[in-house]
This record gives sequence, structure tokens and C-alpha cells, in this order.
Amino acid sequence: MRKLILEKFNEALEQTGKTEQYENIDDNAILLETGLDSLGFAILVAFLEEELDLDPFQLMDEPVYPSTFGEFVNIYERFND
Amino acid sequence: MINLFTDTFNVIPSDRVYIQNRHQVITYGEIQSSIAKFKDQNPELIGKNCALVSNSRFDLAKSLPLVASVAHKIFLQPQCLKEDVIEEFYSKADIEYVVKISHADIEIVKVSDVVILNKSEQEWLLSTSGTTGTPKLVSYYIASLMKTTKKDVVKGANFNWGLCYDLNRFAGMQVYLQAIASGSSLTISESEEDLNLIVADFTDKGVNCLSATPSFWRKVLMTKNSNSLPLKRITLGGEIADQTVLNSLKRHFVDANVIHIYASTEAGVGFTVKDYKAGFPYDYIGISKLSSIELKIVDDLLWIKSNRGADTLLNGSLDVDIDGFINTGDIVEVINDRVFFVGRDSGTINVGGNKVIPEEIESVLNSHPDVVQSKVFGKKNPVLGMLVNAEIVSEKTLAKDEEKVFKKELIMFCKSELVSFKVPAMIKFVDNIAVNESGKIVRK
Repeated sequence: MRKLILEKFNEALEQTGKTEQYENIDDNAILLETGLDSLGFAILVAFLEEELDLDPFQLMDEPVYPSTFGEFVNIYERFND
Repeated sequence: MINLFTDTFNVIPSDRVYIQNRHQVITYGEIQSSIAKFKDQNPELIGKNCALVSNSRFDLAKSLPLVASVAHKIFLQPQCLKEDVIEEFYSKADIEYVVKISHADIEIVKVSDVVILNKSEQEWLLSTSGTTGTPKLVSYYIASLMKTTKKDVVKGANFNWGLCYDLNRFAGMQVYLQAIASGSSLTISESEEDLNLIVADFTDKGVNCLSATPSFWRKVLMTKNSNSLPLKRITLGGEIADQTVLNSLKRHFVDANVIHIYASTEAGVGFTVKDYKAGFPYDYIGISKLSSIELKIVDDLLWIKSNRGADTLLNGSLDVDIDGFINTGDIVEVINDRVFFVGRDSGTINVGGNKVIPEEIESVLNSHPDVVQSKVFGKKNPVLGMLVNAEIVSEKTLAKDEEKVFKKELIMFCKSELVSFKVPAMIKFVDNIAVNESGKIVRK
């Protein structure tokens, strides 16, 4: 899951015209400091939905807004079970 | 009382072809005999309000003159109306008889007893497609429907119109009335037919005038044999005619005049544009040289006032201001003395608070040399509410890895023309983009 998210993360960065590309992202990395803006973040979620047929944010009872990369990955792992 | 069929048909040479398809040819003489026979056989329909239903455009064209020569009101009922809408329309229009046509069979069913006062002028009723809500039922006097049609029977001998809209829709009715008002021939295609076959039939029958939506024309340009169509007159209507499709048609059919037309079921025929350019001249706005219509732009929306629009709206409502202008719901933009259509007000996508109009993105995508047709729509997204998605029909056949490369190329292409939130986030390649019975892209 982490590998897939990282791959799509880089694709979303590229699609939104950002130069950053990551080989790895630390669990504690703050999402808003990775270079991905809100459009990029929206695209990332859409990419993952296409790949996994899963939008965890729509399945949540209480909306959670992940602030770190680790939290983001965790949400997908949790809902993909 | 003017009766279109009995009065117009009398001056048309009887051996001229009225309608034809691959299997049948009916002359104006033959249809006149059928009218006389129908009158004798169905006296109960004289002066009555009738709904006419058929799932074949050809059968409808064959029976319309028969029913319209006796009935007082004639409702051209589309096939796809829901049961409750049909009931409501019948009641609003005081429909007494339903005439169902299937092949050679005519079935007449009485649905109500209505004592009506026969007004002098016949009414024709059409339903809007209702893509953005409940369909509206609109009534016209035949004179209003025919205000812009040419009625030169001598010149009409040179024209052979192709019909590729449903006859019970405003656009189809316009083509039909134009053809018969000048005693021209109408070659009829059916909605379920393969486009290659339609093009082959139209070529075979010598169709030289064709009116269709830009979506339809893009598909025609994709067919192998479209070069052989002997077109003299090309009309585009119903959707935005962008510069790319106008240029392609002009290049492809060098002998044809390419005209785009602005019309709506509610407001009737607005105006035509003949300079091969997208949009229309700014001097059409206000008290202009256009006869019988007036245009204005309020908050980027086009409003139209017309004396050839619908005579009565029997069901549904229109956004009309105190000066009698109708809100067309079309968003326009003025650039250098030209007014361009941007899209439909009702179809905007909201991306994180930014307004995106699908047609604007489609126009950019369609201008890419390898894109034949595109459809842009909003898809729900938990971060920004909506994201722009696109479906693409390409001329190239692509393997999976090539698709990826082409997707990237298209995104870069859009980025060079559009701000980032308008660039499609997701692109999918499809074989076909569905159009409705009026030839327009289906938008849910």
C-alpha cells in the first residue's frame, strides 16, 4: 500500500507541475510541506480510488484529515481490509 | 385556416421525392393520395387533438401529414417520455386520440373525451428533451415554426436534405419543415443505424444539405467514406460549434457552405452565422440588424427575445424578464467584437469553489490533432468537492502503455491553455461518447 501511495503521490506531484519527486517519504512528514497542494491532494485521492476502487474519506463516519504521510497511509490500510 | 400540407403540397410537382430511405421512396404525389385516403377513413379524428407516436423517423414522416391534415392539435410525442409525464402532457394538451404507427400499421386509441372550441389555427406540440429536469411541453402555430424556412419550390428541386435528428424534436422538425416548404427531398436515417451505413446511404441518395450537432459532425468526419458526401450546405446546431470543427468541415467539404445556427425549442430559431468563425458578431447584441429577435447579455448569460419562439408553454416554466427576454442558460464571453459560447449555466462543475464549464475544456481537448471527441464532467472528490474528468475518443488505437503517454501529453496540452483546476485530473479513453435523440452529448 505504501509503495502504491508513493507512486501515485509522485504522479500527482508531476501532474500538478511540481518538480519534487520522492523515493521515500517519512511517516512524520507533514503532507502540506511535501509540495503537494490541495488540487494535487485531490488528484492523489482520485488516482487511488481508480486503482483501489476505494475512497476511504467517503466511508468515514467522522471525517479525519490526515496531517502526516503516515496518517494518510494508515487510513488507506485501514479501509482497504 | 392554413393547412401546411394541403396548401404547400399542392404547388409541388407530384413526381418529386418527399421522403426516402434505403428501402422506400415516397413521392409528394403519393403522400397527397394518402392524405385524402386517411381523411376518408378516419373522420373521427377531424378537428381532434392527437398525439402521434412512432419509433421510426421514416414512419413518423410518412404519417405526420396524414394526421396533421385532419387534427386540430398534434403532439409529436417522443418515445422516451415517462408514464407520468405522458399523462400530464395529455391532460395539459387536452389530447383525445393517440395515433401509434408501427411499420404499415396505424393504431388509433381514444384516451379522453374533451369538448373543445376549435380555434382557427392548428397547434403543433413538441417536448423538450428535459436533460436538465422535467421535459417542457411547448406549443407552436405552424407559422411560427416556419418563419425562417425558405419557400422557393423551384430552387427546392436542387436540395436533398438528410435527416439525422429525431423528427419529434425541435431540431428535426426544423429540417423537416425546411425540406417540405420548398418541395425538397428528405432522406431519413434512423437513430439506431450505424453511422458508416448512414453516410453510405446519404451518399447514395445524393444528400447535399445536412444539419447536425457538432458531436455528430465529429463522428461523420471519422467515417471512412464521408469524403464522398456531395454536400453543398452544412449546418451545425444544438451544441457549441467551435473553431476546430468548423475548420475541419470546411477543409473536408470544400464545396459546402458551413453555417452554424443558434436555436432552442423555447425561443425558436435565433440566428445563423455564415462567416466560418466560432461565436457571433457583437453587433448582433441589442437592437441589431437581426430581424425579429433581440439579444442581450446579463451577467455573462445570453438572453433572447423572439417573436418566432413557442406560442405557449403548456408545461414547465421559463426564466423570462419583464421586457420579455428569455434566459437561454448559455454562458457567453465577449472577446474583440465577437461573442463566444462558453457552455451551459446548468452544467458547471465546482472545483473547490472555482467554476469550471465542461464545454470550455472540451473545446481545448477537441483542438488537439489526435482527439476526435471529448466529454468533460465533474466527479465527486472528498478534497475539493469535484474534480474535472474527461472521456476521450481518439483517432489512434492505443496500447495500454501508449495510453499513459498520450494522457500525459493531453494533460500538458491542457495546461498550456488552462489554469490548473480546469485541467482534467483523470482522463479515460473510450470508443464512443453517447449522444441523445437530439444529437447532443448526454450529460447527467
